[in-house]
Amino acid sequence: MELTTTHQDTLTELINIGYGRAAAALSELTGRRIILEVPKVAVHPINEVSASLSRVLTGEVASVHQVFSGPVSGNALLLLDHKAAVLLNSLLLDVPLDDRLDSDGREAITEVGNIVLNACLGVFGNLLQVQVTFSVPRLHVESVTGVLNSISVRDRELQYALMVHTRFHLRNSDVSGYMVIILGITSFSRLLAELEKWEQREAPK
Amino acid sequence: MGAAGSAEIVATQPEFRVRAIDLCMHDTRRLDRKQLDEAILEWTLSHVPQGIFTTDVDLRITSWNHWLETHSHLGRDKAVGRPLVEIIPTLAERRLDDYFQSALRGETKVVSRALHGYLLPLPSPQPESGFSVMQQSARIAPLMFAGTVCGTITTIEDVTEREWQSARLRVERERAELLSQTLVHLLATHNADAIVPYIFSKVSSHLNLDAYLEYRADIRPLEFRLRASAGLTSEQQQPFWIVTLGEGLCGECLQERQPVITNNISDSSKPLAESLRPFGFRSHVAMPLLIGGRVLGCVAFASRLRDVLPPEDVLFLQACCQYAAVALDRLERESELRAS
Repeated sequence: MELTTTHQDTLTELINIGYGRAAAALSELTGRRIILEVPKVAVHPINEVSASLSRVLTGEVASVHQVFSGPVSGNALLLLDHKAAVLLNSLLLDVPLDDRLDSDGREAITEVGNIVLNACLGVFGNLLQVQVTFSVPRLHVESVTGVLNSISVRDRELQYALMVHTRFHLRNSDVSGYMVIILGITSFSRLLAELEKWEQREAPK
Repeated sequence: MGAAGSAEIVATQPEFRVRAIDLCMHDTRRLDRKQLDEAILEWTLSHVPQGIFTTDVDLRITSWNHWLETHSHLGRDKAVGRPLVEIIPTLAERRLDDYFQSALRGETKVVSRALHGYLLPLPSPQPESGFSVMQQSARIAPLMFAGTVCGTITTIEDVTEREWQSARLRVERERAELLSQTLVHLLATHNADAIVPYIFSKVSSHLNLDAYLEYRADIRPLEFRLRASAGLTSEQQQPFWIVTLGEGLCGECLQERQPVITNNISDSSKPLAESLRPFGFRSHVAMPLLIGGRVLGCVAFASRLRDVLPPEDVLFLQACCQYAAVALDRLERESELRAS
């Protein structure tokens, strides 16, 4: 299954709406202007995601993971490599840059991931006009392969991953990461169908 | 031991006896699903070491567990039915009302200690930690029934001790790094006059110290002369130029070869502490510079901000002064060797 250019544009626009909300919430929370950008959106079969992410996220990554359920269900993750996680933590909490992510830092990253994932999936929920509910977010620090394996093992029917290159801009610094939304074929097809309807509704008449 | 044994154990505690008898009556029959759920809920509300409360869709409290009763001193009967905003008056001010509204829309929210400090303003279980309010990590989730959101459920974890220990570990790590940097510098230095000033420059901001006075042995016996200082004007330094063994705080330190700590100077009625008050000092410590049994001098550190220098800070300064003494001794020996 491939995304057409139009699908990609539409998805980018919708994710940008979600990210706009997340950025507003984060700015309010931290008292600093935070911008969230979406440089790139792509869809990969689940078995290609690990290799694809391992090229851009090396070593251990901090992953905020939430399972979402309802008419559209799947797994949502925000992935930051270790360097990005400690930098984001330092910028958000205004603490000196440390190469370790302590309990406070882990929680801050969990909350940030939670805000980003909720905002983004909330937009999808509104688009599909369905109630999506979320699990309690969990933060793991392990390799990309380890993160993805734990999800794949739990649910073998998962097939596609929407990979969203994500950039946080705050205090004159950029922090890059990836939001990954893993959907089963049914949920993914439904999402694409609703995207097309939305495109038609939004298209200039 | 059978049921009778259990009853004997709780015989002195009437409130438990009733429960023990209930258990004896029920232990032979299976609970159906609903009863099991009720039993689990009862246990959760009574024994879980976390705060758990629920609200309805209008954000009125519908349940309030035993942990919350204990820590808030607010009984279940007083909490249930009240609007959440009455329990957390700063909810809107801290923009946490959005989190509950999000939960009503199906989202699960994280309230991290790092970004919020706490959700419920509860007294700190460890006031000695420096936190006046219990530090918390909370999760706010939709309370679902038959696929519909019927309210919110919040769990609260007390992380005060975790944060306290974490802060202590952070300080210890910073100090270990500082000591390591100091040691590297002192091993390489060739300037005996720059040793204590270097240490002061490194530790002053870390320990909130404002002044130091460094004394070295004078040619006259029993006397030590001021060699370097910071935080005092030259006029203020005058009474401190010479220290005689056994006199004053530094004199006592040199005689006893032990740190002499003077805390709470602003409240102290001791004459030696009173003599420091005009300079605005609130705490003071005098440290000997010792090599084995030989006294090379002493260093006094003082703070205008802190009333108390805790033992861990004194130990840290003591370690710095030991390094300084080793470096001074090395430079003295090198100088002697060159002279011979």
